[in-house]
Amino acid sequence: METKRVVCYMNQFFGQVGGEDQAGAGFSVLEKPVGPAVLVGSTLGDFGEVVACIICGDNYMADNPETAVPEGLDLIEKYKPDLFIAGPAFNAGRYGMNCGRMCKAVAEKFGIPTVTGMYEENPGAELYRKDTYIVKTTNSAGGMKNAVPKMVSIGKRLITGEEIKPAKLEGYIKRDSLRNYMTEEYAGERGIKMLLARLKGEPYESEAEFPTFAEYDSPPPIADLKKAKVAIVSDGGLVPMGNPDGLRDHNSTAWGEYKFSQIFGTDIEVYHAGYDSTYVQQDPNRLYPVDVLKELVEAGEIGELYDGIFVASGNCASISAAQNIGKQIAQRFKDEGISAAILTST
Amino acid sequence: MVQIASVTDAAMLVGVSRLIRGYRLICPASDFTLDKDSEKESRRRYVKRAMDMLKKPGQKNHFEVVKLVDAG
Repeated sequence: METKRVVCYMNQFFGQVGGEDQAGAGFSVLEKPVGPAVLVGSTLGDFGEVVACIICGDNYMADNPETAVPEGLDLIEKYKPDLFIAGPAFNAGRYGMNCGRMCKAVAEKFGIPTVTGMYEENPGAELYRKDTYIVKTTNSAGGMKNAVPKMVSIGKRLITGEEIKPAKLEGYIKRDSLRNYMTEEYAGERGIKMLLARLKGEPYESEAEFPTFAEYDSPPPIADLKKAKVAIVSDGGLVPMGNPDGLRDHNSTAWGEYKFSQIFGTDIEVYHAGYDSTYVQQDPNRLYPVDVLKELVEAGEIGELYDGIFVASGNCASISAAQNIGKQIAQRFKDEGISAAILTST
Repeated sequence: MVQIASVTDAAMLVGVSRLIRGYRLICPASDFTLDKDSEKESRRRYVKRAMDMLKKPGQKNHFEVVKLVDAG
């Protein structure tokens, strides 16, 4: 097998450009291993060679990913890599996000395997765990010697096609992908053992993990609705024609705020692949009940109806994306003095 | 905030404390099978119930059902 070409991505610190003072530094390229790429290269052995290190300041990428990512891709292209390794980023948030977005972009553009490493709580981990392999690391660079060999091992097997076992066994962050693999016991046997353990009060481990949700206190009642400014929020994805904010029909991270005039009496469309939107497109009041809310305002039963509908697309949206959207909408509520809302869901 | 959703299980799972079971997933805020005026009345009832719930303490693991049409 010919020696595989590996390109590594790292930030200004690990690329030895400088510290936080150089976080705004643009791209630089070294055609030799530096920083974590030295360990990558030695771990690769005869299998591969680090042909380039792409170094970018954390802020340079984080502040303008729309331009920085394509710039990075252009630099990577000439090296024709077989494998792209980013970081590891440990618990550095900007670095983790940047490693994740570069891995995703490289995989999409060049169709090559990508691997990175992050601490589980790194915000980049949740956002990009389905787009690349993220090896679990410690929360500091002290874990470099453990993380890099795992990253290289996964990278090599992604090239050769050898088995990559489930996340728990391999030490990467779960990707929510379903894959069959052989076990010694049949599923029925494992299920009975699990049931017996549960009945006896003995410890057992579910093979399927269920998401857990943070507990929130219920907001207090509105003291006086006649003074309240009420808004409409929805995850039904009904937007002005042209989809100005780029909602996706699944796995969307975008949201928009639209005036009534942008929705009613004009061309609209729905970006949500999870339901038949025929009825809400016939009459948007079925999703955004503006007509009856206006009646309540005229009757003096509520203070004001905010002329703006907050729209997201709830089809297969990740929990973290939905939480981010919720926080941003909540900020808009604060900005506009909105004290109550109706959320319609499809 | 009051959520109007037909898939109440999902809403309760994440801890929504003011929840109304919507008409249908494809049309949460009114009964589209009714004539125009009756449909609007159904929507009025959903929204009025939502406003009532805003004035009261929230209740998790609970959803309200709105009667959309009168008998007879």
